[in-house]
Amino acid sequence: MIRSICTLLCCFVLATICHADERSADGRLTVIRAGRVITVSGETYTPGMVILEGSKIRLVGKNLEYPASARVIDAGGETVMPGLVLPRTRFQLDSYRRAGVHGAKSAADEIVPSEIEWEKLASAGFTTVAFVPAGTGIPGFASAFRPTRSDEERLRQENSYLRITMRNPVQDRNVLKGALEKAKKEIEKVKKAREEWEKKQKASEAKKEAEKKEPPKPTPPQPRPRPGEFEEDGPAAEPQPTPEKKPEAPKEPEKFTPPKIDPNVQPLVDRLEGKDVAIVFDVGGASDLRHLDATLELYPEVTGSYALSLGFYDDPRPLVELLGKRKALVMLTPSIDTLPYTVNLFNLPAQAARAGCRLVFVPGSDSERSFERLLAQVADVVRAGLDRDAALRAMTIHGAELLGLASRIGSLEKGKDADIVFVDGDPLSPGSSVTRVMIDGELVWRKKR
Amino acid sequence: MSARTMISALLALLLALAPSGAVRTDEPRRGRPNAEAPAEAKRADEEKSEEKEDEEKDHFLAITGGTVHTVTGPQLEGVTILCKNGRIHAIGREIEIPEKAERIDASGHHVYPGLIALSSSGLVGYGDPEVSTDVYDLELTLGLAGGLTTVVAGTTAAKLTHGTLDGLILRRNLLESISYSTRSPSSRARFREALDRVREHLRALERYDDEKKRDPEAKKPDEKWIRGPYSTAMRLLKKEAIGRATANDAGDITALARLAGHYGFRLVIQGATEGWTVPRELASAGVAAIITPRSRRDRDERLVRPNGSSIEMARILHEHGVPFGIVPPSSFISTWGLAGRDLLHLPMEAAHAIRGGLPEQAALEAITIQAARILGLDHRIGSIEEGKDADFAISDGPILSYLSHVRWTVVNGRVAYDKAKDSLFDHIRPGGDFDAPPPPDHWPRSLGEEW
Repeated sequence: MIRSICTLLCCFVLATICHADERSADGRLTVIRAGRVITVSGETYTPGMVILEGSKIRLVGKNLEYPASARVIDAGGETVMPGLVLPRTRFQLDSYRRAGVHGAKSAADEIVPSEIEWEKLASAGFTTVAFVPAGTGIPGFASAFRPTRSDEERLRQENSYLRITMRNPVQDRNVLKGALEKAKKEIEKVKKAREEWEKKQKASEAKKEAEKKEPPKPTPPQPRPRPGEFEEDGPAAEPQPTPEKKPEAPKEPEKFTPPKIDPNVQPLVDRLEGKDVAIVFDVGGASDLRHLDATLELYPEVTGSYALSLGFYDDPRPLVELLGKRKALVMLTPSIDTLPYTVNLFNLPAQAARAGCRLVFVPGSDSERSFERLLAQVADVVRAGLDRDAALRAMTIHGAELLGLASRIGSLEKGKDADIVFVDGDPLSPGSSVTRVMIDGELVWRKKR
Repeated sequence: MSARTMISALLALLLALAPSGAVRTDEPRRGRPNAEAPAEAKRADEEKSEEKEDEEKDHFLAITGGTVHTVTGPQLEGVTILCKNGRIHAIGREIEIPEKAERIDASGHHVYPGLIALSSSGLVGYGDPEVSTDVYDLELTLGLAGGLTTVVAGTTAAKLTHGTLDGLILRRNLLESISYSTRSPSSRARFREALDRVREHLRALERYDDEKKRDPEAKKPDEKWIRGPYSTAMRLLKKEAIGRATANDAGDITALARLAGHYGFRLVIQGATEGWTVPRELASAGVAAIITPRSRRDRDERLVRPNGSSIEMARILHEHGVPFGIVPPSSFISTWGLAGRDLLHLPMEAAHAIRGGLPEQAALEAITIQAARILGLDHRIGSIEEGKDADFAISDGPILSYLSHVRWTVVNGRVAYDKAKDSLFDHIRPGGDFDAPPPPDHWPRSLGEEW
């Protein structure tokens, strides 16, 4: 019996080795051996291993077999976890304010990569950093970057999420309402043009059938409003010709060219048409949320995550209750503050998680010191009652979800990007610090001894 | 043949039902400007459509026990007030309370209609309260803790809807400010001129209406010039707004009363410190006053006529049939040290009038139904009657007593303030009962087990 099990095991081991060897033909595998591997999405292995293939994660487990040719990184007793996600920052960007609707802009427009000390971001354990446009109203899209060494590879996603503020309802309500109304008008405009086009098409078809003569002349392709900005909804992709016409279409190169849409409301148009555009609403207190709801009353398609920036006199409790009910993804700073007009301490992250919110942590300010302190701050909040897993997710996978990158980053899973952070101890212990940071399988930062 | 007639009859029935169903869709009471159209008709419509609506969606609130001060009717003991969707649905002894109704056991408490602050600052937002109000604001909550449910901010009447924007606006553009003081004869002349010109214009409009019947090509009088003071005059003369003027001198008050009587517009005089010396003028012109019974103004000994303030002001106005509302000296919540002079203590101000000889009932009316009448909103607020808004201040004693605290405040059928759940006054023991166990979160507050 035992013998048979042994042979089976041997076979299995051999098979894995062979398999691995096969794979290593096109690139060496990298093996990380660590005292602990926190996958965030699944189990925690103590000790554990992560096997990387190129820039992707291939296997995560406890005792994995790997070929002798693999490059081994022995992290000893250190902990390995997915790279941290910084969901909102303006680190080293100029301070300016813009108001109004700027859906065509993104933070990537204003970033000069050589002027940002990427190493400072990497050293805090961040492997994905979302820069946001400043200002009020709809200042534009946040852009996700990787603090890698080379400038070319840094931009991960230009349009991560659209930032909409509702901090001062007197102004912000009008801006948002105006933008939504405009978006609706633009949709109507395109619809009307399409109907007219269809009518013309039908008329010309009838004519053609009567005459059966010369082919129609092709229309010139319409230039895109901004290259790379709205790739998925260029004129070709948006309202496609009706499917029933397709079979007889091939001869006809004529296509419907929709009228131009104001690029600044394009993201809202997409959202109203059911496309996937991530939105993050910046709200202060619970009242702002009520005002936001009142503004979006007629637009149930427009939903999103929330970024909280509570004022000193804002009671967080009603806000937590409201957001918890809708199981919202909520971006906040992990800190424990007093309730307004009292000396009562309120663990906002813990209460929000308990109410049903999914948290995304963001450092208190855009300074190197604040970035470095994030882990310790989270540790404080966990010590005061926040669920440990919720805290770990809030720094990784939920941030990835907020940016719409959850399929690529945020946890140690097969097929995801090899963005890994090494910590000399438990990440949620105040004494621990980041020792190594890996992005796409490459070590980009190492703590100096 | 018979089947066809049946179908057509059914269709006709459906068509007949359709409009009343449509009324309901925009009915949820977000204070739109059209929300206050002919009250009775609208209410009837609403009731009809409400019956049709799914019972599941209705929100009920039942207030049981307690002494009910209806203000316009008798004082009732041991009755139940059933509110449905923000309105008072039924008052009586044997009322069936729906199972899912929210309940307030008010036994031992006094139930009053929600109090009305005829002028306020800072409780709801500035400008248009619908977009600027912080519905979780501390001052708004404190206003509720003082028993207020409706406040006038600027020219808008708004409800203190804690935690929601629904039903916040009661009526917009309610008031038009008038400046008509003896100190500025030229501005008085200008305003009279505006009133004259607009009155002439209104007559011209009437003539035009008549003429149009005979001659379809009749020319409509030009209306482009109706701006600024002329638009104020227009709104006053068309009775679209109530004039509001601040005046304390007997001379000013008399002048204003004569003006309103002469042109026939509705007017309310704020302050009216010397109003007690000219009550007949006020009463004959039908002018209302917003008074502060506690306000002091020294007597000028050089004058022969009675002048200065009088603690009996409210009584004298009441006895002459001048409608008046009461406001405290400060229209804010905070008075920076002058406790008891702000909107948190509106009933105390009314109690000051009682000191001057005003009957208690009249004092209560001055902060409820009279205030509603002055605003022309007495079909919605100001008393506990079936069909009116479900706004209540429920206190642990007579509300005009300095000992009483508001225990619950209900706005639009929702509990907007609960003393036991809000940390503001939770620690205050009713009637000085220091043996009562402290509330669980009383000072010194515990910082939680982890800390």
